[in-house]
This record gives sequence, structure tokens and C-alpha cells, in this order.
Amino acid sequence: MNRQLFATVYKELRQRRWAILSYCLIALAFMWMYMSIFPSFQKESAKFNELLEAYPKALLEAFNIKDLQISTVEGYIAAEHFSFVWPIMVILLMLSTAGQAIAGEIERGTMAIMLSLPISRVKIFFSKYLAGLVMLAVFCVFSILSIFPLASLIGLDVKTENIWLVALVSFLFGWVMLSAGMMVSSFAKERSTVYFTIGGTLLVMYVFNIVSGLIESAERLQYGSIFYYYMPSDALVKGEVDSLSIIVMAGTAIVCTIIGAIAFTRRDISV
Amino acid sequence: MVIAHVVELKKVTKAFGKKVAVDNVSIAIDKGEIFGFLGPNGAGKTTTIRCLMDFIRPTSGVVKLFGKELGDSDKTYKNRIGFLSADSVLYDNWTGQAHIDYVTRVRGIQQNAHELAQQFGLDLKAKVRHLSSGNKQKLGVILAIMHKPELLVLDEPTRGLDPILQQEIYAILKNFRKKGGAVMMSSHNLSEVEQVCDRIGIIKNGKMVASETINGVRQMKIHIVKATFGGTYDEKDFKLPNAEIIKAEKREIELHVKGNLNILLQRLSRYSVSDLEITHASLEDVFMRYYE
Repeated sequence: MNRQLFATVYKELRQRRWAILSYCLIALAFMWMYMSIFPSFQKESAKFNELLEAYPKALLEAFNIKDLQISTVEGYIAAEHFSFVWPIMVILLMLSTAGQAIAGEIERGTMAIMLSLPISRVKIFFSKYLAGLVMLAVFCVFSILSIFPLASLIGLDVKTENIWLVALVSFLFGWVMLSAGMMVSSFAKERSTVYFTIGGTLLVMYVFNIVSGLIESAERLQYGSIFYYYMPSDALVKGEVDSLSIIVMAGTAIVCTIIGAIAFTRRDISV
Repeated sequence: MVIAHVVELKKVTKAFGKKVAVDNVSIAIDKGEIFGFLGPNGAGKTTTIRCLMDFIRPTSGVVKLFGKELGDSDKTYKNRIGFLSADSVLYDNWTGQAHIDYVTRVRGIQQNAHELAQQFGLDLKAKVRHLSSGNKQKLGVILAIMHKPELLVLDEPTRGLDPILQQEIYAILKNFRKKGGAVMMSSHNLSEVEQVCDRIGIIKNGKMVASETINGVRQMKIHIVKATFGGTYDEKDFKLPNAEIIKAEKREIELHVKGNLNILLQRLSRYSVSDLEITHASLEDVFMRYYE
């Protein structure tokens, strides 16, 4: 009965097509802007390096900016794009997708259409989930893999392997956001519950990450933050990905997905 | 061989925390029968329908459709059901055609949507957000019946429709019954229920307080009796076990009498009656008695 699954994946993608298109274009525009600015920035990079060195190391680490070589295109993109703008964009995209997928349909009452059709709840959940993954993949292609054509257009050399690595790490981060969002959405009646719950949790995790860098005794808090495991600069600059990060992010995504699927299958849906 | 009911709810109870929304409700609907489900807002009609559609799970009791208990995995039975929710909520930014396409893809069976759209005069190319509430309801009805189901579950199917279209829906339902289809419909509209349904169930505070055939309800023979006397009368004479005094004035009395009129007529004969009017109560009056 894959017909039902793919029909629903298509429906979800069709509904979110303008959102994904705008996110992709904005991300592409950002990347194009950074890549275009880089040659002139590179000339002044010594001054910027000096400026960055003046900041406390812990503060830079809190923003995932460490061991940077902003004189290289990889280091520059890691600092400018992947330490702040990209995570914000993917969090917004994935949470809005997950929030709309289940809680949004319950809130509007349209879930009744799906529930009255011969498609199981597990399939409804995973078709929406799959659509979210497709959106994430498309966003990653536009926002990360676009580095290749843009670099060649501007005449910059990039480390191919490192770009693929950061794409992997970033996809994993987006996957965690989607899975956590879908999990909360499976329990919720309104989209706002998803946004506030995950938004609040991420804020706390972000604070954990900063505090653990600034206060030695609070160092362990970093392990409770997803931002500790999301290390795009290591991937981009050094070409390294910590296997623990992969395990934690993939594990979190899988656990959230299983909880979400079970909750959605068992819950009452008053539509 | 015992033929299974199309719909069978056995002692279904649904509680939300301490609040019992549906309490020990049992309903059976057979082929070729239209069952009207009546009750005021908050009585438990929609909760019962949600249990039937497997949107929510009963706290206790059994829900069977086509002789089988509702299961988690196999949902193919839903191809045999047409459902219309109370508010007919649709995707605002989709056209009617997009709705039909999606439902057709998931159901994977032949539909007669365009024929119905033509019959209802509905433009399937218009986006739902541009449709009037009546046209949205039309689309909801088309989505519910286009795959020729065996059971229709309709939550207030004619809400927002003009009288001409209401009559069309009634005709569709009667035709559906003629072909052996079963219908469970909730309604506030008593004349609609009287016109279309074979049987009614009345739910009050989550409990089924009555389940009668329409003919049975009509035969309950509630009479409205209005008597005008030549002189004064003693109200106590009319306090009868099967009668309720609705209005008592100096020389006039109005009563609702259930069943036999003999005792009342005996009492009336004690007085000089200058005018007497006896009429059958409407279905609405019968219905309202369950809520007193």
C-alpha cells in the first residue's frame, strides 16, 4: 500500500512547496553573498583574526567558533554561516514543518480528512516524516552543496570532502530538529505547543553550551546540549567529524521518531 | 447465518479524565437503515461519532464496523465508509479538484466526483478559501459519497445548505438506503430527521435516553390539549400521572398528555367546557420531553 504513503508525501510537499522554495532561495542568497564577499574579506583577514583572538576563547566556543582559519573559505563560511545563520534557518524550517504536519492539521481540523481514509496512523506519521526529510535534503542541497557551483563561479578553491562532511553533520542536526518537532507534534493539539516546547528546550541547551564554556564547574552541562554535538567548523576546517556527535545526533533522532510514531498511533484525536 | 450489523457500538464509554463524555452507549445500525442521532450541543454525539471513526478510542466497550472490531493496522474498511465532519473542514489553499485527487489516490478506487459536482453545481477549480460555507459543505458531501461507500457517517450533513440542496441531500440519502446503504447522521434539525431517518437515538449528558423508530416516536401520541371553561375550575383535578400542565389560567388550561386521554376527558366532563382543542404533538415536542 505504498500508494497511500507516496500520495501523502506528495500532498505534504505540495502544501509546503512555497516555504521550502523561499528557504532555499534565502539560503542560496546568503551563500552567494558570503562567497562573493570572501575575496575582499580574505585581504583583510589578518585584522579579523586579530579581532577574533581578542574575544574570550570560551565565548567563541559557545558560538561554535573555534580553531578558525578565517583566511580560508571553509573557515570563513564556518564562522559566518554555519555557526549561527544556517542552524537558525534549519530550526525554523524543520519546526514549522513538524508543527504543521500533525498539530497544525489537528488544530485546523483537516486531520479528519486523513483519518477517515484507509491509511493507518503509522503511515500518516511516516509519510509526513518522510516529506520532512525530503525538505531537509532539498534545503541542504541548496544551502550547502551550492558551495560547489558558487565557488567555481567565483573562482575559489574549496575542499570537496569537507563540504560533504559539513553537509552530513548539518543534515544530522536538521534531522534531530525534525524528529524532535514531530515527537512533540504527535502529542500536541496546537502548533504553538511545538514551537514553544522545542524553542524553549533549544534555548536552554544553548545557555547550557555557553555556561559550560564560561564556568569550569558547569562543564558537564555541555553534554546535555545538542549544540555541543553540532560541530560544523570541525567538519569544514579540519575535515573531522566526531563519531560521538554522529551517534548522539542519529540516536536522538531515532528515539524521538519512535516516541512520536507510538504517541501518534495511540492518541485520541478530537477533530 | 447471523448477519452482522453494519455499525455496532456495545456499552461504549469514553471519559476524558473525570469527565465522562459518553456513558455506556449501545447502538446497532443495519443495512438499508438511516439512524438519526439527536441531542443538544455537548450531549456526546460527536464524541460517539469520533469513537466510531476511530479518531478517539473508547475507555471501555466495543466498536464494530461490518462485524469486525476496529483494529490498528488494517484500515481498508474505511473504503467502505463515507465521512462528513460537522464543520466540513478542508484545506483552504487547495481546490476542490485537489481534494478529490488526493482522496482518490489514497482510496485507489473509482470515484464519481465530477458527476456529483455537476449535480450540486460546484466549481471544482475554485480554491476552498473562496467557497461559501454552503459550497464547502457540498464539497464535503461529495468527498464522503463519491466512492460509493456502504456506510455514511454524517455529522450534521445539511448545515449551511439552502433548502433546495437539503432536499437533494435527502434524496441522495434515501436513494443510498434503497441500495442497501446504512447511514448514521447526527442532526439538530428535527424535521430533517423525521423526513429521512428510520430510527432515532437520543443522547443526553452522554447517555442514550431513547432509541425509537420514527414511527414509534410518532405513535407515542403526545397530545396537546387546550380547554376553555365556562366557569372556574380546580387545577388539582388535572394533575394526572400522564399529563403535564403547561399553562393554567383562570378559565383556561393547556396540557401535554402522553398516551391515553380517557382520564383527562372524564375530568373535563365535570366542568362546563366552552372550547376544546386536541392536537398531536410534533416530533420536536416529543424530543423535548426527553430533555425535561
